[in-house]
Amino acid sequence: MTAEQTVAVRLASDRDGGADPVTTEVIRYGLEAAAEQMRVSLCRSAFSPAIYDGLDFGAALYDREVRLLSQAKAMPGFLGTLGFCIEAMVGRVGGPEALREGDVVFSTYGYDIGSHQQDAVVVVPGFFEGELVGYAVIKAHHLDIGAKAPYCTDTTDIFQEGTIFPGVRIYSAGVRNEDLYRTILANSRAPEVLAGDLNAQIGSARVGLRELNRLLERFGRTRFEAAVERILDHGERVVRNFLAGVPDGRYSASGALDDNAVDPGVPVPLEVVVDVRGDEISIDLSESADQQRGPVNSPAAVSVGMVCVAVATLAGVEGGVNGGYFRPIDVKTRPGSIFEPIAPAPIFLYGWAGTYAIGLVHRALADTLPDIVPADNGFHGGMMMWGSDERDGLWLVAAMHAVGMGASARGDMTTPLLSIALSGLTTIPAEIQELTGHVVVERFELIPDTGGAGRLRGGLGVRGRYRARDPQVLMVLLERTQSPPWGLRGGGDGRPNSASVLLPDGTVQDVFKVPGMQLPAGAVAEYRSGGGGGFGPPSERDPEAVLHDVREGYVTEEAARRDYPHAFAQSEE
Amino acid sequence: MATRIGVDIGGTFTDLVFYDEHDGAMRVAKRPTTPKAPDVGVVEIIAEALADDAVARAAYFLHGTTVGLNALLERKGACVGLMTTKGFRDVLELRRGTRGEAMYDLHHQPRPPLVPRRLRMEIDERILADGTIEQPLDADDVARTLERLRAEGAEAIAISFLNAYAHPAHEVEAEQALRRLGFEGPITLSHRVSREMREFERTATTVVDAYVRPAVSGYLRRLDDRMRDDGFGGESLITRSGGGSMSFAEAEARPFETVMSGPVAGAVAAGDLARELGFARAITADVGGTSFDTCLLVDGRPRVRYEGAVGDLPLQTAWVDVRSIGSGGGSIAHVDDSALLRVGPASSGAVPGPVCYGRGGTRPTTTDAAAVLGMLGFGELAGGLRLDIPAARRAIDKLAAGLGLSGDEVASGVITIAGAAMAGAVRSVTIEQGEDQREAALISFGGAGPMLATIIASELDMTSIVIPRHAGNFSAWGLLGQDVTRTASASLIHPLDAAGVAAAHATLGGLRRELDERVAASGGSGDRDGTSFDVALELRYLRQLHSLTVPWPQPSPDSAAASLAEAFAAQYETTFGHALEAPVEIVAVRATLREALPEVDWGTPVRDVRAAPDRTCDAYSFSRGERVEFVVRDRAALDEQPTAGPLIVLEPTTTTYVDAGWTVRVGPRGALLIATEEDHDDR
Repeated sequence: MTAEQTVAVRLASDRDGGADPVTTEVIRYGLEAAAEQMRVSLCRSAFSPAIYDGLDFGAALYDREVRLLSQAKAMPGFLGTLGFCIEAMVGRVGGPEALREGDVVFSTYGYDIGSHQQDAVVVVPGFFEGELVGYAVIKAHHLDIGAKAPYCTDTTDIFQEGTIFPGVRIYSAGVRNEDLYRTILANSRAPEVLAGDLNAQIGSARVGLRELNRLLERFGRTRFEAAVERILDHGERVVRNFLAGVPDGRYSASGALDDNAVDPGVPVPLEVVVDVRGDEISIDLSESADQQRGPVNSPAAVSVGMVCVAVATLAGVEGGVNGGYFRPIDVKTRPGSIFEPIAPAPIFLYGWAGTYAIGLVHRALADTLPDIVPADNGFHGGMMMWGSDERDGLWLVAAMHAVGMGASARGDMTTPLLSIALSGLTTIPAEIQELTGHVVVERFELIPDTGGAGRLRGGLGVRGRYRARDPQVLMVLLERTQSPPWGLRGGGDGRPNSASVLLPDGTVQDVFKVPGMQLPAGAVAEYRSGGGGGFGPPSERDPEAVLHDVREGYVTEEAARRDYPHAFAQSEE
Repeated sequence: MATRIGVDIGGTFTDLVFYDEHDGAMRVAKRPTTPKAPDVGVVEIIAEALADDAVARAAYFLHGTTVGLNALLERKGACVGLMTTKGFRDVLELRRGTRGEAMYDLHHQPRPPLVPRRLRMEIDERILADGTIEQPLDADDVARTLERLRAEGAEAIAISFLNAYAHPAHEVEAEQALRRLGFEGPITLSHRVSREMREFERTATTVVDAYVRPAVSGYLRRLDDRMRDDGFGGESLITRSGGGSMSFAEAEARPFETVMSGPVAGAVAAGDLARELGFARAITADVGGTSFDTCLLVDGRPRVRYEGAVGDLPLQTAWVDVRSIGSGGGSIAHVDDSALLRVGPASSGAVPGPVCYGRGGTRPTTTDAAAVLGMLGFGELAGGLRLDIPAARRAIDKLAAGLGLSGDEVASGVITIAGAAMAGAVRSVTIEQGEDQREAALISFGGAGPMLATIIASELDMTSIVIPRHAGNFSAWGLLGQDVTRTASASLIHPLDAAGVAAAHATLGGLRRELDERVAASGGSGDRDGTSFDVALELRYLRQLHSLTVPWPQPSPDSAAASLAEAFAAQYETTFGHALEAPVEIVAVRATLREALPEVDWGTPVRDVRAAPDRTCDAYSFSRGERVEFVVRDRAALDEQPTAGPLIVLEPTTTTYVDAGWTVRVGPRGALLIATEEDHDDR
């Protein structure tokens, strides 16, 4: 028996069903450390920069009842979807009773995992003394899983979006199914990378379960489970305390995606109704558009997960998130709608509707929570350029930009960041883009005047200009070009996303969603990411702050004179 | 052998260690840090602790300081003007789009850049990734820009052009133009700071260098003058973030290399000790007032990494991989709104400090919990200070009332929770490097390290603990053995084949010349005995951007690529548990020039017959789960014979708590070796 076991035994007595505050805290540390070790292990052994540099993954431990114990700090957009993965995938292989120690279940089926097929999920059941005690689950973005193109923006059903592995045992009782393994790899354009990333995923899940077992061995199952109850109760209390402070009522907000990516110019309306009663919240997405012909549909699991992110970010997430956070949140979706599409509706660009839903939940509550909710941000978007030649083979440059964040009662925003659903991803340095791709990055800079005016100013968007050194292909993926990021309480809107192509003959063409456009050498593609909304009336902005913004070049003098005449009135009297 | 003085300035205490070659004697001293005038603190601790002639007799003065770091954290640096390539004025502000640890924070904004936007200027020039000049530098543009920077009050200028890592010509031309134009302030060029790609990280490092230079340079000059006034005629050295030391002159020229040096000397010295004691794997546990620093030592060497950070500022420079969490002797225990007991991250700091220090602290800390449990014996500290244990007990009891637990239950809970947090940090570091901590020794030092060593080791199933001699001042001790070290590296992307090896060797020639020039510039100490030149290649599997640093033992243009690839595969397997069948490519070439200082004869202290006699006290045993009688013994009274715990060992700079179930004996270099009872016979 270790020293800590003894202290735990002594302290346990019968209070709190064996989970005294000290043991609970030690177990909480243990669970968070376990999730962190899953993260470290995956980052260290993954092949794709998207995973180890971009942190484009989610890794978590769940208990036997599929309650989230702890989740690694990675993609917030994956937060809360991993439980759905476990339920769906375990269901596919016959339910928990059918699981054996050493099984590894693998799925790419978008409707089970709440992501596009590229975000493959591995679920490994954990056993202690022969009994099922929980699950390690890892969702990670894979470079290629056999979609019709490396990144598809114009799919019309799920079969075009990647090979479907609908929850299959890649290991049974510790033995790998070689036929299946070869089949998975045979369906990828990048089999070595897929193999490396998949094995890293499995290894990392095992690291998490090893740590879970260590905690079970040390504290015994009874005390461990009692501590878990307390930990989950704590998470639940954080959210309930927050909700209790929100005035009861029905709040709503609506917006629209530009289009569904295959029918240009036809907006897709989204509607969020938030109902707060006491310390519970119900969020209804069912009034949103019907499911779409193009790939902007959001599977129910990710719709629910994104809404949970919206609430958790308002409640304030300290340390790790656990299943308790989600208990007071009820989400309604409508089968056949964009937030609960029915297979095989296409879902490749599934993240947009969900990201928009986060913004709409915040917008719905903004008027009743003026101190907490920020104005809207520049959403997200990006471009890719690729080509191939004998020297470099296939090369690809991704140009994802950070966007302006919305101002709030807490202050101005200036520095562009990635939207909260993508938090954890990183933008790629121009020096790496120029080294690995056939482009020259002519500019990568803040765009003055893109942040919404207001008592507090919205963050700025980013202009990137990419010149093609030789003939190549351009893909553009922009959303929210027609609906600007909203300001709050009288604050101005931010400038929305836009992009254009300047051809060597001098013609300029605006572009929105382009699956593949041939660029001649010398053509320049420019993407201008959106700015954040402002907060409060511009007339209330501190004149000093206005002049500071002009001096630093965040706002041009012309715009400042238009939006903040009061700041110039005195000095010119 | 050479007489030397080491002074390490920490956030709470300034520590001194003096080694006298005359009689092999060592002297240690500790006093509170004087943050306002650290140089005065250094001179005073020397005057207080050492004989009048000690300074004049010393051949080396080795120094650890956080002056550069503090200037950065407190934003008290130079007014820097930044020149960038046209189109890249905002590189410092655009960063990489991330929120760091604050991943779910809707309101997150990084701290404002060190250079405000109006001081960031674009120069008309362009070099491409392959080094070709697309647009020559416009010297008139540099002249116009200088006018504007002067008007804005820039004292120093940082120049960071795109792709300068591949071809630095334009940065050099711009510097020459500025000098021709009469600019006399400091100029930092990005390629002299780092020859690696990633413009944000390289520019940030360049700007940090320009920003902290006045603070570091002014401080070092003042300190050097004071030391010379007191008769010091030897060589002054300061620790580097990447390990080893550098002359004051070189630190003034490359101050960015000192910014992350705080915990380095302790880690490097622990490595030497691990080698001496024969531990192939060791983990440091350096517990100070506010932080816990840990580092994995493989064959006595800490891992050196090449991309670090201070707060939200990346630093593209070598740093010894010591990880820190905000948990130390001063961490405050509290009950949260769910009635869970929490420890930290808030700290009582140097002022007011723990309740038991009697300096006005009212919130119970880890140290208070230890005092209440009797882990610090009777509470006598160095300098006649006595802990106010009853006050600590009152603070703990107040916490206990809120939880419905007894005072001892809460106090032991606080220690257990602190130990769990520290153990978690150790696990992250070891798993990242593919090591199992159970096979390693725990080397524990810092003021509160020896107190918590058996707790942390139990939490990690570790069976072997080392408490170095003068553990409370170990970082200062570590200064004494720091070799003079210079590093240089350059990006080079090339397949690892014969042509790649030849290209790497050509790159290496340039690095060696750069290092030799730096040696010459710092006053030609390059003829020291025991100079070594170590080369390593940064290698990775093709398409896997993560790389490992692999030693290149005898670099030659004809070195076998295959054997380098094998060494890489072996290291990869150790780190990740598997190797791959994939081609390997070179990412960067790294060179380190080390000039060893004369060896120190550490000796082994013998049992001191004048040691105070044993006493006993009632203290809490974590392994027994109750209070038992502990023997309280002077460290000088221990010898090579194992003594069984429960035992509390007293010495001037720290207190070692040896729980029941562990035994302790004195080993080489006077270190205490603590092992579990079943393990002791094997060692």
